[in-house]
Amino acid sequence: MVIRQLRRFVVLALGLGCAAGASAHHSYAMFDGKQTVTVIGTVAKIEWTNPHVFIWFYVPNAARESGYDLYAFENGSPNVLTRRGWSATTFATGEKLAITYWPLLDGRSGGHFAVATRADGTSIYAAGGPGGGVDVSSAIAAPPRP
Amino acid sequence: MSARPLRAASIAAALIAVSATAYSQTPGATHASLDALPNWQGWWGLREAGPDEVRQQPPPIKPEVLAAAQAAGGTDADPLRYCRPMQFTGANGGFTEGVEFLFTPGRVTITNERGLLRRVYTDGRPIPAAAIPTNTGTSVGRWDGQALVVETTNLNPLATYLGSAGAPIGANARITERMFLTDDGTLQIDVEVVAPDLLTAPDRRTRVYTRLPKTVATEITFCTEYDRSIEPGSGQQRFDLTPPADLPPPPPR
Repeated sequence: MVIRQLRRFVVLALGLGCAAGASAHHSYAMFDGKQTVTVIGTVAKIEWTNPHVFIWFYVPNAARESGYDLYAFENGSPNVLTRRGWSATTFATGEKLAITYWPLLDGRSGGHFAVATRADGTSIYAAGGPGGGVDVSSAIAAPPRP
Repeated sequence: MSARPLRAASIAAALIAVSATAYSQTPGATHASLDALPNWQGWWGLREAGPDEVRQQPPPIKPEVLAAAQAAGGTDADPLRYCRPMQFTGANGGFTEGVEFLFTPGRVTITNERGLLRRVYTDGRPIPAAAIPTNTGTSVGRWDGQALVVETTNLNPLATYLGSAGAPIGANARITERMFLTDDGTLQIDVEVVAPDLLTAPDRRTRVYTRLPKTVATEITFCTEYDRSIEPGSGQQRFDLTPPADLPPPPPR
């Protein structure tokens, strides 16, 4: 299930190279910073690794023989996510979530994690994302509970 | 032995004794005197800045240097840049790295979660005139009341500077930092960067750090065995969707 949310917000192009103050690993040019998308599914795995944590996610898709699409969402680094309340066990395998993310520009199933809402209605926000610093995702509305 | 050499030796001994006494009274010179220094214990995080820092206050890069760097492809033209050790060009890390300041007699050591290691000698020594350039340079400091003033030279001339699209800081750069608490949980660092090869004027910035409640460092590194975001051969950005080998199966339909 994919819900398109054409939620426009101001994204300033970096174009200034890697700021020493930011010491970014890479730019966010591969993501569409002009919109977010929400998918509902179940957690496959958290890859709790440097320099980026990835969340693998099964999204039901009846049109596919397998019955699902596999998504991957990039997130911030473990040290910054830890400061924002995350851990390697923040999500359990099989946990149902609604995840809002900045999609890949090339159309593949994935993007940069922005915010997820659990079945109990609580939400957790990403670290980093297109357009800015650690808490840029705080400008994104959390999706409804799945 | 005549009286004159004896007098000279006595004067020299007295000067050494006075100097040693004066040094021992310098804040931070002895273990006991460390207690007189401000409390910078723990970890510090750069208050949100990131790309905004350059947008809001672009450094005075020489236009011809910036144009050449941009024409060369900017920072992505260097496939190894993600895997280089930390290079100090005025920032002790970005908003992703916690920073700590360790006080020992005659020295302040600045580290961060990404492996920065700066040794700031506060024992009164001058900066060596002909030190070899290094990634974090050569630093000496002095306590001015409760503020630490640090001078750094001998920086790696190829280290890149913020907002320069990968252009190096160049030779003969000199960085002055004034670090001080504005309250118990806030550390301010006023930075002045003089880089005659790169800048048209000194670049002055203020960075504000907040004391973090954390007590344990969590390593962050951009140099890993496998990086889904960077192609190891070319250094170009990517988004590798190859599933992990141990990916659990999907839930039953």
